[in-house]
Amino acid sequence: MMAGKESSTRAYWIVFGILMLLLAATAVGDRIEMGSGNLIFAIGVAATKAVLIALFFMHLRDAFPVVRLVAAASLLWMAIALALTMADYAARGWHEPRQGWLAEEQIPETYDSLGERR
Amino acid sequence: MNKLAMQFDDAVQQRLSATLGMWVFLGTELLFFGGLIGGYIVYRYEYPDAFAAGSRHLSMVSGTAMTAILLLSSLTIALAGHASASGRRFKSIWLLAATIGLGAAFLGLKFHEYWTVYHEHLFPGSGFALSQFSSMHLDGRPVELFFCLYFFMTGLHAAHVIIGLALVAIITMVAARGRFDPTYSTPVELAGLYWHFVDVIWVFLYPLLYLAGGQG
Repeated sequence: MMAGKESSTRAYWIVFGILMLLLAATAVGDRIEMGSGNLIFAIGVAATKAVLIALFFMHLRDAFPVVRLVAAASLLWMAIALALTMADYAARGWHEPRQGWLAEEQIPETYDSLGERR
Repeated sequence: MNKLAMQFDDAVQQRLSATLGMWVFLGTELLFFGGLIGGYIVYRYEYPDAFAAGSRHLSMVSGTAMTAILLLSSLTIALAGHASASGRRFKSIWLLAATIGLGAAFLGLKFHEYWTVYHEHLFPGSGFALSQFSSMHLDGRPVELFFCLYFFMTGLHAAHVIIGLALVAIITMVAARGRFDPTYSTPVELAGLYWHFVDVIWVFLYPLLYLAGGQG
């Protein structure tokens, strides 16, 4: 199950060092204007950190296959739940022009006009 | 030392069952937080500017410090598990105690932030300072929604940190009584799994809440 004792604590320290570097990278990356790249970069770094923690700190790297299967299945299941939720919201037509009687009603389009006023 | 429950063939099978049970539990926890993250995605997509405005009211320095503290506590509990599994009892006890200290420091920063946000009148409800965001009365509503999600997400996470702290405290007391040795230290390992999971959740909350402000 476990690799040699000395090598495994060294792995913990190395992983911790990488996690700190990644944290610094996100904090610095946040100060650089990249448009929608900022979000992708920040989430990408977070996912990398999560994978490192799961593999090394949570021992998924050398866990029993069935434990790895459960971990992967949990992620897959949440991905399915989120993807179907987003598919539902995307199909609601919130951003399409109103038709029929809805077009005649006085309904505020959106309250999110902070950006336009700035 | 005979710590094998009668339903198991051997110690390896017993450890596998305990570890598997913990991972299944963490899978359900993931879905628990996943619901809030789903809500966050829907409303951030709908109100990007309001979420950026809300995020700018949170201190990035404090958020980064909290992330660093939790990552360090993950290291200490991982080292504690290793020390316990290799029979170094004293070392594992002080590493567990360090984890408790770091978890408490995280909560201290967290509650200080709640206090600050509350005093800036950003707690959702009738006291929410809508006028701070726009002269049009209802324009601040989506910002209030951001703070709703902020308090629910960090609140649920903080509850998990508190449970984790209690768990680690119990494990530390059991370890101090010398109940763990190289043949049996599964509880230290499992408490570590829970603690790491809570850390992973924070790793995602950090960019979602603190780094959503854009470069303004």
